[in-house]
Amino acid sequence: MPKSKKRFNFSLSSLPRPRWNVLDMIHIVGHGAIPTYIFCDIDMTWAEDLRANSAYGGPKISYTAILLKAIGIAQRAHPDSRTSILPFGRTLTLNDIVAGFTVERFIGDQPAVFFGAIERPDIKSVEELSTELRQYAECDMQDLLQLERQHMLNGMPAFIRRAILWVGIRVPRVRLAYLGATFGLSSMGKSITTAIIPPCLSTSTFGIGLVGERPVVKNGAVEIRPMMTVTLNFDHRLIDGAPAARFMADVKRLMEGELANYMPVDLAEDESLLPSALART
Amino acid sequence: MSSLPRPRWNVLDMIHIVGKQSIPTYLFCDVDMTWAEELRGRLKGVGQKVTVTAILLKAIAIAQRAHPESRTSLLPFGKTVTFHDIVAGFTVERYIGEQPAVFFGAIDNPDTKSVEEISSELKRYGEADMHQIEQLDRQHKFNSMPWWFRRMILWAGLNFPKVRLTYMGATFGLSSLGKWGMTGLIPPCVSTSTFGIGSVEPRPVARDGKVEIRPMMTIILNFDHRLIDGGPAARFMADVKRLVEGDLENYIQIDVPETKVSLDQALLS
Repeated sequence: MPKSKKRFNFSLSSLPRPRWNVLDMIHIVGHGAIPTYIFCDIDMTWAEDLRANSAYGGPKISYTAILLKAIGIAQRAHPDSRTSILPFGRTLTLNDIVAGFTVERFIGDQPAVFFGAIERPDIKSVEELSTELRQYAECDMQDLLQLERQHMLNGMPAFIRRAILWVGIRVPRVRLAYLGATFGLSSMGKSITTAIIPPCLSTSTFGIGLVGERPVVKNGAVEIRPMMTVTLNFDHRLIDGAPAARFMADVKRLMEGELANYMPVDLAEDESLLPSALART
Repeated sequence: MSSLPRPRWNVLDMIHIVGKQSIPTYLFCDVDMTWAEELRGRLKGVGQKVTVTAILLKAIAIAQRAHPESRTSLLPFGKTVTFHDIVAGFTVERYIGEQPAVFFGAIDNPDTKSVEEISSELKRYGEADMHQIEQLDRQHKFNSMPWWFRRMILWAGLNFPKVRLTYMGATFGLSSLGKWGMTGLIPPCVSTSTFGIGSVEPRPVARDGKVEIRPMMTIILNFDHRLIDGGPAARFMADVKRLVEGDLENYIQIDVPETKVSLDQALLS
């Protein structure tokens, strides 16, 4: 037998620079979290209707926009879902609701995750939210402060990024100046994914699967409904299972139609009628 | 800014100290609850209200008899301890003032108790005064101890089986979110076998090539991979599923008071 040398087929490279954005989040911000998962199936019939009936010529409403608003409203009644931990058992509750979500952008050929933020999604209309979301996905990186800043931070050496994040998770003012998200959301809506468990990067992180037609039981009969599986990854250091389930149940109820009660209010001229007034009382 | 509420340290200690090194692995299983619902209806007819949790605790406990690795914990230096008296552990939400907090209930020998008995014990945990239940009272007092003391006791419990058994003898854990309409829950890995229970809901399923509507429930087993592997864990879960789907019937008829003890002892051996 001729002695043949086994060939090893591999290539070496470095982690692509733009990916450090998400890696820093996972390594530093999510470090020490106790991820716990709740699965919830949501009937999207009402949300689909809302999308279909949106004003002609107006912006197309995305599922994510509806979700951001529903979660934003649910967070008003659940302060523990927007509480994070500080050293020595101290906690920090953020009172201005800010939606955090992942945005995939290509830096050259490299796809990378960036974090978008929309302030007060609970009082904005779904049309406004849809427009802001589209901006995050489509406009130039330089035009959006949030993306531009993250892109710049990625170019810094590791010790600077680490130092800034280290300060951010300890000093609330630094955190709020950088990223004030009170919840996180990652949607795989356009792919074929049934469900996704996101990493535990904030106290409440939602993973959104696709909206697909599934047979379900309604009033004792099998019907086909557009369904969506939402996974809530909550940090068990800050919320327990039952309060997290009540939070998720509120999101489900809003998505299945109760959000309608929060829509007409958005047209009100009178400031005192806005939902923000309700939240503060 | 504020501090973590005192009563929540109960669950935080569990997660941080007891579950710290575990290697959580998840098994999903959909269980057909037709038989269980029928049993509940049957018992309701004779004035006994039985919860789904009670049926589950009994089924899991019976399954644990044949799966000693599911009730084995790790000690230092690769030593293990297997607990032979089956004890059901479950989470109880109680309010301390305004603050909801998680406590851990324990029911001894749920495998030999009737589901009615287990139900009334569960009800007591949910409703009775904190001081009247030793398990809750002790955890509540323990919460207000300084952290170094709690750490020391938990460390001793993890290293010396006798200490652990005096404090908490649970051989499995169960946490249910059924009340809030959640499909499923992956609980934290705080014991070798920890079950997360979703709600019982009618779902279309295929039976004999036809679509039928059945009451279904999703159970997720979070097992510590240091102590069980996937295969044995799946066999354990399959036993639980079989019991909940009807095999428990064989264990319920034996619960006639006079013959109960001898027959159950016979099954154990």
